[in-house]
Amino acid sequence: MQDAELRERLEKICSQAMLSFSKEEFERFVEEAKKILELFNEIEQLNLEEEKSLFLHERQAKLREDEEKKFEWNPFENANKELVKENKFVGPKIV
Amino acid sequence: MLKQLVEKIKSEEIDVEELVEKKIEEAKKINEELNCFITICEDYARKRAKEIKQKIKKGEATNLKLVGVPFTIKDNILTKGIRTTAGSRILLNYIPPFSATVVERIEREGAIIIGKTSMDEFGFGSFNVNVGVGFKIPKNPNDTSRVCGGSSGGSACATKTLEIPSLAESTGGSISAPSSFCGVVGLTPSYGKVSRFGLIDYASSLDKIGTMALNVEDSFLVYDTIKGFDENDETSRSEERDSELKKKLAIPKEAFDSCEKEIKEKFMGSLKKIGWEYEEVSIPLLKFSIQSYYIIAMAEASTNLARYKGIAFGAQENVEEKNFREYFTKIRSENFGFEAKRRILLGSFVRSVGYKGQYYYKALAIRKKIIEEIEKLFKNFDAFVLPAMPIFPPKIEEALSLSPEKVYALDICTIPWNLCGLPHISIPIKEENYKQLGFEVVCNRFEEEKLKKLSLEFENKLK
Repeated sequence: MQDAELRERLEKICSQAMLSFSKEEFERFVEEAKKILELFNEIEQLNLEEEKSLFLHERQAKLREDEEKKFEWNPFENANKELVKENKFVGPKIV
Repeated sequence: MLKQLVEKIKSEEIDVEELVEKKIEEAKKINEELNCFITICEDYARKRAKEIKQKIKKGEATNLKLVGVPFTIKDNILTKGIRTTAGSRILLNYIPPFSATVVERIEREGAIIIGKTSMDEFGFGSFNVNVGVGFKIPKNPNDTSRVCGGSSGGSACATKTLEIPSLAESTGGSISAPSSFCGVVGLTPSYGKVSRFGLIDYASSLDKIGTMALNVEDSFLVYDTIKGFDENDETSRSEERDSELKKKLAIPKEAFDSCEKEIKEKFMGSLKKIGWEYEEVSIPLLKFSIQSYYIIAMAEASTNLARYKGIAFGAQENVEEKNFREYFTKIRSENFGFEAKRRILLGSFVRSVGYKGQYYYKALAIRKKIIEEIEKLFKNFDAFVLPAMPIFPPKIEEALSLSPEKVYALDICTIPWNLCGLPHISIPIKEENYKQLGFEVVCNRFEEEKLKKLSLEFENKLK
């Protein structure tokens, strides 16, 4: 994986994992992550495809291609009319 | 020996309140120098000692196996009403509303908890230097400039200095490593043999609660109290296996070759003392156990730690941020240590779309294959034997300066057995200085009885 690609990926994961780093911390993290991933990449040389593994079949499974469907929903459709004014619900204040 | 101590407490030759008071004072004193405790629960211990004394007087303690025995507990095992932090600032003031099954079981037998021990944050470390933000690094009792080993470093240090047992936990070697570095016996049972209910998870498919003590007999006495099925943990089992004794041991080549020369010599000297037949065996996949373990462990850790956001669990602050996402990010970023953040992020990475097959699934397949290969070898051997650590305890600064991938590689003597969920024990090869080394014995899954037989004999011969 290219340096820029890895950096971008890690930044995205940081956001998803709800973690932030200072600039220096992030630089340190990227440099160390590269070396750790190099270590992890050593398993690429293993060919375990022929193994009757419980897990490998999932890797080969194709993802279903989803069709985008427009979601149409009117939240006021079934509401009591006296409770809707100018497309907003009007009701007692909950304290 | 715990058995003798228990008999003396039962017969009131030793006053349980005096004993507990003495241990509390010692704990406070050694903690100033060695940082092996996160919490010393002196009031709770005194209250328990009083209750136990009453029980003894009333004759209600006759059948209890651990009556009056002071204990320490690793700080990732829940103790009702006693602060439990898992060594992390994010749980700094967490008071559990219930106790772990293992804690309930030892307390039912009359044990008295005197404190919660230091650890790497959530168990993320091999030297106990990856402590949480604001926590202190525990020091090796044999040489205070050196590490205790991790992640159950505080437990090993407390067991060695206070001479009392401890409940510890291992994910990839967190019992064997500190036991080897500090010179105590560390027993890691088969995965599932001891309930994990009430353990703060690191990697749920790898975590195991075990024991630390000064000798093999005491380790198994405590283990016998905590083992067995628990309805609160569906992975727990009461299953026991036994196989014919062959008096033949195997040295796993790939792990043994990674050890320092002096370690190898010391280990071989000990093996000769034991006098059993042995053979070096090669398991080529073993060298990939490091990658397999770290990928699986980080992946599981990243999901297990997602719950700490400052709402249901974890540190809380006033919400001043614009939205909850910012609040969660602030809480997590300020309260997790660097290693915890690293493992969360790399764990998320190896599970992410596009990389899951390359890393996570492959790691699972490697684990499965290693388990199969090792299972076959147990047909010819009783146990694997090897040094528990490939190095002697390094100085604290040396450990802090090591790059993460180098630290991970040093786990080669403990990871394979943890990855496969096999029971193992580290027995100290006695030394006077810091050069402590554990003689590790690994048996097949659920063969704890055989492990006990072997380790009692080996301990005797290694004296």
